[in-house]
Amino acid sequence: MRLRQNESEQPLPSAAERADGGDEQELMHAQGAALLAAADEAINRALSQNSSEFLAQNRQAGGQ
Amino acid sequence: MRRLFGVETEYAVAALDDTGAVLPRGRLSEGMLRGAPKTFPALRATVEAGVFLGNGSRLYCDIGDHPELAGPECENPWDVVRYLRAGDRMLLRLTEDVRRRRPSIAQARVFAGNVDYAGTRSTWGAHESYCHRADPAVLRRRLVPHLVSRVIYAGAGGFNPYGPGLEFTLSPRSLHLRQVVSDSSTHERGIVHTRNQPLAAGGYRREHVLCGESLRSDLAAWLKVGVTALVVAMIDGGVACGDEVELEAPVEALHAFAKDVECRAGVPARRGGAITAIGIQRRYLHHAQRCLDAPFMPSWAREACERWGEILDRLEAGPDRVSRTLDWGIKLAMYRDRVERRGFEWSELAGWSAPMAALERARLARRRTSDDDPLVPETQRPADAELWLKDATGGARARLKEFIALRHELLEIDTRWALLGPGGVFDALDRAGVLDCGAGVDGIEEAVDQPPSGSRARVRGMAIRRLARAGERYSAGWDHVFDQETGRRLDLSDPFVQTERWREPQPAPPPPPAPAVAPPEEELTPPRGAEGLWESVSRALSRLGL
Repeated sequence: MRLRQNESEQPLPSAAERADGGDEQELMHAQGAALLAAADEAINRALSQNSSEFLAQNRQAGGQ
Repeated sequence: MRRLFGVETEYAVAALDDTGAVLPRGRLSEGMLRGAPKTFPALRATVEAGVFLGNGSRLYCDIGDHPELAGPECENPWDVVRYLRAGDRMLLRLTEDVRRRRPSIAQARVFAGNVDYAGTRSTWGAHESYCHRADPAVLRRRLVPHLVSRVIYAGAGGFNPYGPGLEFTLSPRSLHLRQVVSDSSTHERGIVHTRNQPLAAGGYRREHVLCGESLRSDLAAWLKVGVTALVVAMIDGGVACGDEVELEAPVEALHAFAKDVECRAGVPARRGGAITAIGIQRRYLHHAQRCLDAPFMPSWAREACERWGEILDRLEAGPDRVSRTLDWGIKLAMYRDRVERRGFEWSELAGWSAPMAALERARLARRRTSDDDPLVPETQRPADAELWLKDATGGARARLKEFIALRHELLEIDTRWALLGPGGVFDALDRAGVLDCGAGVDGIEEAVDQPPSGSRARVRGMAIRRLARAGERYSAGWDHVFDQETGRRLDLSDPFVQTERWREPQPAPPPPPAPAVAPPEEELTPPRGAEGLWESVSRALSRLGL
């Protein structure tokens, strides 16, 4: 599989093209850590002062 | 063979004034609908509510004052995802336009989400439509095991909206589904819909799938529609896929699969034994790989099978392998981390459901006054909350308070995952470049204005772009564009039509004899929001004998 990252044209390596298992684990760990760091930053920036109030503000009705 | 399919997305919206007070949702959604023709080329819908747009899609306000964008008919999953993302941008633009035009609206939010966590138990749909010519009963029998098991890559992830605690699920919307097949999309929702509304001639039918969720991962959305279109193609071609994996209880199976982040749960198969979601998906994939060169398969089937097989391999290896790829996998990684940062263990979350349920029961028991709205979160009523905490948990009050705060925080994050634009969690991660969920979809900005190629959507969209300046003279539908001045009709009843063919008005047939008894008044009531147009179009169509 040659998936592209978002809209860039850089293909990701396929499973066969990847380095051996150890390197792959290391890469996955590093990518996972980067995701969590970015998520923490994004969440801390976005979170409201009062989450229950935020949920109430966005309360919906109906829907299919 | 060419296939056509598309997605209609129901968006949640919220408007706030400068004090943070919530304004009626309709003020925003109706404003977006009214503003659409000023922002995009548009024609009013002939019969249905709303407008058809120059990129071939339809925008309208649906039940609960939600804007809904039904995308154009597409021939491949790249186009479907392209128009989904274009639709997100269009809705965001319209939201911003309303906010700018109306000073009373200080904040306008639009969400491509699936469920409401404020206690209303609302869900809004991302329905799919697949064009086919198979027998509907056969199609559904063979398709349902696929729809049930695809949740392992097509689930949006989140929390059980009915649960008092924090129960992670691959698919929060799935808990709103009660039946396999339903004739309603608002009550007792089904996995599929029985609505017989082909919106096309020539023996084509439209399978309307209700169980899908809005997804932010392009790859997840691509797989959801691409794989399902392949399965529909096989069934349309007479392949008996799905028969050997027919499920004893599909709705219960969907709920069981959605609960299991390891994707190892087995459910009873009609032919005996238990089968996993990955096992079901691998059976369909096996059929598809054997049919790759069959005339009924689309040209992109091989690439779809490669992506399909790869995601099943990843899922088999565990949720960590999809933690940057699929909506639910990313959320699981993120929420686990958040839970630990707040001093809880992920494995202990399930243990909080019972005390939270007891708390909920106590809260309901104490609901004595009529102004005590059960939908207002308990922390907005601190005196009550303190009382419940004291009674319900005694010495564990502090920990329970921390759990409640964690719960609200995670539900806010899950809601913000779907928020389009600033403050949206998915958008922030996407910008940070830490995700691996692309599907090779580009040309999104072009798709805001231009229709896709290969179907009547192109003919419709190009006609709308050309005729939009004529004001109310023209109207549109999925299968036509209508000139109310001359009675001419652009025929789009063939969903694969490529050229613009206008039909002259037909001579009107002799008027029918007057009924002996007048019909009930409600039968004469036009659809909401289309009164004036409805009358003129009805008169014109009647003159034409249509």
